[in-house]
Amino acid sequence: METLIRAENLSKLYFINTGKTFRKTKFTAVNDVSFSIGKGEVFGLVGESGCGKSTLALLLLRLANASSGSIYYKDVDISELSYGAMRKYRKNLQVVFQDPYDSLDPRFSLEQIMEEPLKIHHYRDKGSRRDLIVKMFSSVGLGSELLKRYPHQLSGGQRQRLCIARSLILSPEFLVCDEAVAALDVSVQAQILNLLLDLKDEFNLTYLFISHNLSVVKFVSDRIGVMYFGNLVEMADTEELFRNVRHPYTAALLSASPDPDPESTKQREILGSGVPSIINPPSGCVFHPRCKYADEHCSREAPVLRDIGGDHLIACHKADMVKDGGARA
Amino acid sequence: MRNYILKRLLFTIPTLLGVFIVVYIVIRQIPGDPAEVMLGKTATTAQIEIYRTAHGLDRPAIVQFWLALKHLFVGDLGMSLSHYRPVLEVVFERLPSTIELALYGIVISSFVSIVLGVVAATFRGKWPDLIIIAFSTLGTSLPTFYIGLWVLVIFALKLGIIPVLSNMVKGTAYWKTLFGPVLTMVLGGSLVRTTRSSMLEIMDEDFIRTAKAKGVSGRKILFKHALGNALIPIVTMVGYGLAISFGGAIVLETVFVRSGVGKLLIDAIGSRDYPLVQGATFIIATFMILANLLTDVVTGIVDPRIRVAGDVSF
Amino acid sequence: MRELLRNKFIVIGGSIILIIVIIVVFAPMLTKYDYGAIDLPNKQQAPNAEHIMGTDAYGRDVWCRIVYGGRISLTVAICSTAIAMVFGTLLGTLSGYISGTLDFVLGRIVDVMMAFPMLLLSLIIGIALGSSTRNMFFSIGIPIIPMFYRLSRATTMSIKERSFVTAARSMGSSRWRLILRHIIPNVLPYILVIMSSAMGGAILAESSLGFLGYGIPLPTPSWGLIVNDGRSFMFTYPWTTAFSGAFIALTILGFNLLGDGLRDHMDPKIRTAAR
Repeated sequence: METLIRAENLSKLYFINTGKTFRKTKFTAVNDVSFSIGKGEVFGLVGESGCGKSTLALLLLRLANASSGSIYYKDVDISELSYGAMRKYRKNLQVVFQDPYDSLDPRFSLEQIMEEPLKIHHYRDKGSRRDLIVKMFSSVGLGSELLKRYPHQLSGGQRQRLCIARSLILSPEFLVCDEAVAALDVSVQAQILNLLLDLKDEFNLTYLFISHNLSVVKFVSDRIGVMYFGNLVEMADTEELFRNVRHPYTAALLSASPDPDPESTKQREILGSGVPSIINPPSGCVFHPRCKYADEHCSREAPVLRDIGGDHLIACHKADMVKDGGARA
Repeated sequence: MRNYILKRLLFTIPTLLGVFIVVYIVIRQIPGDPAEVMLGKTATTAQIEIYRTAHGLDRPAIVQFWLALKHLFVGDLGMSLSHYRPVLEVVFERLPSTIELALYGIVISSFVSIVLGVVAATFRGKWPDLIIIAFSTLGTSLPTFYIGLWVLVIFALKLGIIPVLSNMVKGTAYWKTLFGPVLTMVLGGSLVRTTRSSMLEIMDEDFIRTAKAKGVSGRKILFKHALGNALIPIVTMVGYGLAISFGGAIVLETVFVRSGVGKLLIDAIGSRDYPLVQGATFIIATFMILANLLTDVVTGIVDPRIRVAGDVSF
Repeated sequence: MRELLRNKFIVIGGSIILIIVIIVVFAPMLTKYDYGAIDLPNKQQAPNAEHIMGTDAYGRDVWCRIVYGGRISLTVAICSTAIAMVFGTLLGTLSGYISGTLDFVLGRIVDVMMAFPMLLLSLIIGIALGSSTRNMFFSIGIPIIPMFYRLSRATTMSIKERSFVTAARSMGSSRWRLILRHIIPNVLPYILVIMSSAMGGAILAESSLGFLGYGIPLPTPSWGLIVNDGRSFMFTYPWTTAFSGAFIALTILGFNLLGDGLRDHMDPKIRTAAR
C-alpha cells in the first residue's frame, strides 16, 4: 500500500507558566511519535482526553508546529515549509473538528462558508462554484435550500454535515476527523459515522479518525493506534488489536468500553490514581504509576515501540504478562 | 506573592523609562533651539553655551538622550524658568498638597460611594436604588470642572462656607481648603455603580443562597458574606481611582486655585516653562504608576486567586 | 434590533444623542443670530425671549454659540474616536493574533500611555503638535487608543483559539484573510460597544482642555471654549457656563447610557476589558 502521510519522531513541547517568576515548566504533549497512514486507509487514534491525540493531528496538518521530527506527505517533507509554501498542500489535507458550533464563523452564511475554501484556492467562476457546492451538499445530505441560512439556524448534526462538506469541497486526499462525532447525540453519531464511511468510498479518502471512544474507533478503523500521555503505546490492525491486546493501557480501555451483550460477565479493570501531572511527569514508562504489572524496571526505563510480529507494535516491558492475564473484551 | 511583587516592580522600570522618553520627545518637538526652549528667552549666550555642552546638543541624538537620562538619574530636571529654582525642588514643594487632595478625595468619595452602592444593592429595584443610580449616573457624566464650578458658586459665593480661592487666603481652616475639591470628587461618585453591581453579582451566587437557606441573618449575609467578597473589585476600583485622581488634580486644582502639582503644570504650560512641564509631567506619571502598582499588589494580597494563577501559555 | 430597543439605557441614551445630533445638524434653522456677532450693548443678558440662553460677555447669543459649537465638539469627538478606534483595533488585533515580540513591545508602549492621566497626555501631545483643530483630533484620540487596543487584543486572543479560525487556516487561508475576514468582523461588535463610551470620553476631554485654556484655537466656538469664555464671569453671570456645561454633560450622559446599555446587551467579558 502506498504511504500517504508519515510522521517521524514527532514531538511537541509546551512551556507553562507555573507561577515561578522567570522559570517556565516544560510539558511534552506529543513525545517522539512515528507512524504512517497508507492511501485509502482509516487509521484510528484513541486515548483519553488530554493525551495529545488532537495535538498530534494539528501537527500532522501543520496547524501547530512540531518541536522536532518530520512529517511527510507522499514523500515530501512538509514539516519545514513556510506558512505560504504550505498553503498549496492544504487543499489535500483537511480536517473536521469536534465542536460543530465553534467550527463555523457565526457571521458567515452557509453559502459563504462553502465558498471560502474555493475562493482561497482561486475557483473564480461563480456559477461553477455554486454547482460544486450544491453537489457537495447533496453528497452530505443537506438541501441546497439551506444555503442562505446561518449556522445558528442549523441542528448539531446539520452543522457537522456542513463541516464535512466544507472540508471535502476541495477534494482532499486526507481527512482528519478530530472527535468528529463526540459533540453529537448518540443517534446522530451513527448517521455521521455512516456518512463518513460512505464519503470515503465516494471520494477515495484516507482518514485519520481520532476519538476517545474505542467502540467508535473500532467501528470505522482499519488500523488503530493507542496514545497515552503523549506517547504512542500500541498500534496494530483493528482485528489484531482486539484479538491480541498487549498493552496494559489498551487492555484497560477495552474493559472500560460498554458491552452490548447483557449476559456478559466481563471483569472491569479500574485504572487507579488518575492521569499523571503534566508538570511533573512520571519517570520511565509514563503508564507505570497506574499499571498493575509495573515493577522497578518500568519506573526506571521508558519502553520503546517494538514490533512483536504481524505489524503489531507495542511499547511495554510487560507485554507478555498482559497476554496471559490481561482483560479480554 | 513575593515573586509577583518583584515581577510587577520590574515591569515598572521600562514603563518609567518610556514615560521619560515620551516627555523628552514632546519637549523636543517644540519649535526653536532646544537650549533656548529650556533656558528661556532671557538666557545669555554664555548660559546657552554651558547648557549645550552639558546636554551634548552638538552631538548625536542618542548621546543627547543618554545625557538627559544621566541628568534624570542624579535628580537634575533643570531649572524652572518661571520660578528661578531647580524644577525638582519646585515640584516637591507642591507635591504634598496634591497627594493630600488625592488621598482625602479618594478615601471620602470611596466611602460615600460604597455606602450608597450597598444601600442601592439592598433596595434593588426600589425607589432608593433608582434615585441613587440616577444621581450617580448623572455624577459620572458631569465634567469635573462643571461640578467644581457649581460647588464654588453655591458653597463659596451663595453660602460663604468656603473661600473662593481655597488655600490662598491666610488663616483659612484646614478642612475648608479641602472641602470644595473633595465634595466635587464625592459628587462625581464613580464607584457607586461598581459597588452596586459587584454586590448584586455576589448576592446572586450560590454560597449566598446557601447562607440564606441555612438561616443566616440578613445583616450578616450583607456585611460579612456579600460585602466581604464584593470588596475585591471595589478595592481595585479605589486603587485605580487614586491613580486617576492624580490626573483629576489638574482640573480640580485649577478650579479651586490650589497650589498643587496639577496647577503648577498648567501654569508652566501657560508660561512656556518647559523644564517645569517636563518635571511635573514625569512626577505625576510616576505617582500614577506607583498607585497602580500598589493597587495590583493590594489586590494580590486580598484576592488569593490572583497570586496563585499562573497563566498557562498555550 | 427589537431586543436592543427593549433596553432602557439604550433607548434613553440613544434618544439624547439623536436629539443633540439633530439640533447640531439643523443649526441654521434653529438660530437667528451669527455665532460670532458681537453686540456689546446687549452683553451678559439673562435668558429672555430674544436670547433663550442669554448673551455672553461680548453680547453674542449663547444658544447660537452652543449649537454651532456642538458641530465642532462633535466633529472633534468623532474624528478623535475614529483615530483611536482604527489604530487601537488594528494594533490590538495584530498584537493578539501574532503575539510574541510585537505583542510585548506594543504592550509596554500601551503601559506607558496609560501611565499618564488621559488629560495630561492630551495636553503634552498638544504641546508637541501645536494647536490646531486637526491636531486636536490626535491629542484627544491618541490617549484613547489603549482602550481599543486592550479590548481588541483580548477579544482577538479568544477568537483565534476558536475552531473556525483553525478551520480557515487548514483551508489555506492567508494570514491577512484570516484577520480581515474572520477575526476583525468578530472583534468589531465589541469595538462598536465601547465606541460610545469613547465618544463620551472625547467630548469630556475636549471640554476639559477648553476649560483649561488649551482647547481649539480661537475664533471657532467649541463647547470647551464657550465654557472657558464664561468661566471668568462665573460668579457674576453664570448663564454661559451653566448652559454650555449642561449641553456637554447631557451629551456625555447620552453616550454613557448608550454605552452601558450596549455593554449589558453584549458579552459580560467586555466589562473588565473596557475599564
